[in-house]
Amino acid sequence: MPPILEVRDIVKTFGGIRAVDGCTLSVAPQTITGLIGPNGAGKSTLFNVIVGLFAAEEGEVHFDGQRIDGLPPFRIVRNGLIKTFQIPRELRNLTVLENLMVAAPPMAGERLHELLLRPGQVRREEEAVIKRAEDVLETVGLRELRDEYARNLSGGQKKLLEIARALMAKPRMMLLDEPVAGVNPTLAQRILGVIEELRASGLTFFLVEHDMDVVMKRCSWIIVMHQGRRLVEGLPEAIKADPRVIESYLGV
Amino acid sequence: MADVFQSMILQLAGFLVPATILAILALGLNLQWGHTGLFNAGVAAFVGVGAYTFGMFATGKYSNPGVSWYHWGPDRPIDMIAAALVAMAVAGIFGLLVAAPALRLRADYLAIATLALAEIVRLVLKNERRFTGGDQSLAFIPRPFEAFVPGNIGWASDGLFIFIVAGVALGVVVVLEYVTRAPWGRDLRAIREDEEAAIALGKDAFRLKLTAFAIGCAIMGLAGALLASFNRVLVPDLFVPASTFTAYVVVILGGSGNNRGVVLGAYLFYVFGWSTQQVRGYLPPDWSLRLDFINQIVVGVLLILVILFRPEGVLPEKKYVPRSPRAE
Repeated sequence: MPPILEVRDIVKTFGGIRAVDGCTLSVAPQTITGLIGPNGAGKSTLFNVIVGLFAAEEGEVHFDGQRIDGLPPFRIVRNGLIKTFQIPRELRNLTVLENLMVAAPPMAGERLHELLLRPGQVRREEEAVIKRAEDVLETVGLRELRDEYARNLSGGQKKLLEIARALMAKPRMMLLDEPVAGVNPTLAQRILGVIEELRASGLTFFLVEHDMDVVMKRCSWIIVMHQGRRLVEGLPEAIKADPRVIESYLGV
Repeated sequence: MADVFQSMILQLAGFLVPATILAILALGLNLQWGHTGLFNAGVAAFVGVGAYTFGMFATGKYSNPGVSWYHWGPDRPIDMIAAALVAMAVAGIFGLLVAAPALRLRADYLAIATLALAEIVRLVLKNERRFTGGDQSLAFIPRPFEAFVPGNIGWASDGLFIFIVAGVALGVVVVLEYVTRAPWGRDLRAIREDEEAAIALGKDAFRLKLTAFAIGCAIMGLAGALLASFNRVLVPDLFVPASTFTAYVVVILGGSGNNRGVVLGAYLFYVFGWSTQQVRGYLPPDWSLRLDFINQIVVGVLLILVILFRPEGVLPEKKYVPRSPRAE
């Protein structure tokens, strides 16, 4: 199968620092692909470039056969590629349900002329979105927090909310920036279980994670970044044994 | 007996009409600041632009070289409803022109740009005398239904105006309630909470901000048109940049993000002003002169107290708790 995501020769600099320095990699569809590497390797920067939050100086990004670099981030999301934030960015004074509803794909009720001309359509869509948001909350196990303000959630619950919210956008691929960092082991297992279920239903995941147990156990393919470039990639066992990876990242 | 009734109507209109106009312009600000988090430091300018636009179009061109008294306008005055719509459009376009470049930058720049606009508008109103009348005033602005209630019957005309502003305010509230409770309003609140997150969730934040800002400015322009019509006379000093502060007091006091709260805030603000005026007669002369300044201090202190102890205002933003569609 052709890759769903292709990154070619991306360069992104901050001042004199080349955070991403000619990075090329690709992700196969319906996989959980891991991106690992030491701090400062450029993983988060690369993620931000892919979803359009940072503009790269050089290189191309292709998603599902379409070139997406240079598109505004909201268009990339509507194309089916979404990223969660490393530190949850919950909309604090909206409820959990509203946080999810905001992320739904474009609705008639978001355009003023349709609000006035097609109120019936607006109401029906709104009901459908509430229903879908409740289903997603059920999936991730946040159902009982439906009407809680997002600011009142615990750290781990906010991580779940990030994923639930991203799901509402009906993406085909999700980039997860440290989805289980700082989450207690039970909740982490639940998050990882949800991810695996979604992959089985057709989604592709590309995730940054520092917990090697998680990466080795859950990812079917691993890409190692070092100094802004792809160092090596392969199956978990091969990566674990690769001397270059051990030297640059895993340690002895 | 009839005199008592008439003076009551005059007093009531003198209280209710300005309070309701303040409520309308604060509703415009609430859309920008309360819902979307856009800091507009030039509310006075947009109200002023609306007021003068209405004044010019509803009064028509006026020139009296003998006393060097002019103001611009169409050769014939246009219908008042049309003039009010033009006032809204012009204020909205001013909003677009200021916001379009500023909204692409960091949030602070919108405040700087609108503050600068307020000062520019004030100077133009004051100095472009052949255009605005300047300090000579723009006068003879008509009120609606003058054919039925001639302007010289002051109390009836004022009394009727209560219903006009109330009707307009009600319309503005109904429309704003509808659009802010809809997905459109949810998008605005998402931008207020975290603009980058909203963009990352697929929201065209720039366009949403621009639309909300322009509509807010148009509502301020409508408030200006009502003010012009009720006052019958406009002078530039009605729109000093500092009066923007009043609009923020009303929005924060009433409840940022709650349209009904903002209306309540406007009336509370006027009740406060009215009640201090009632005290004036009982004060010794030197203190009654200081009353207006003391008033301003008290309003400032009250605002600080509200922000410290009830930052959500008298009527906080309502939590959105829809029924579950599956429960039916």
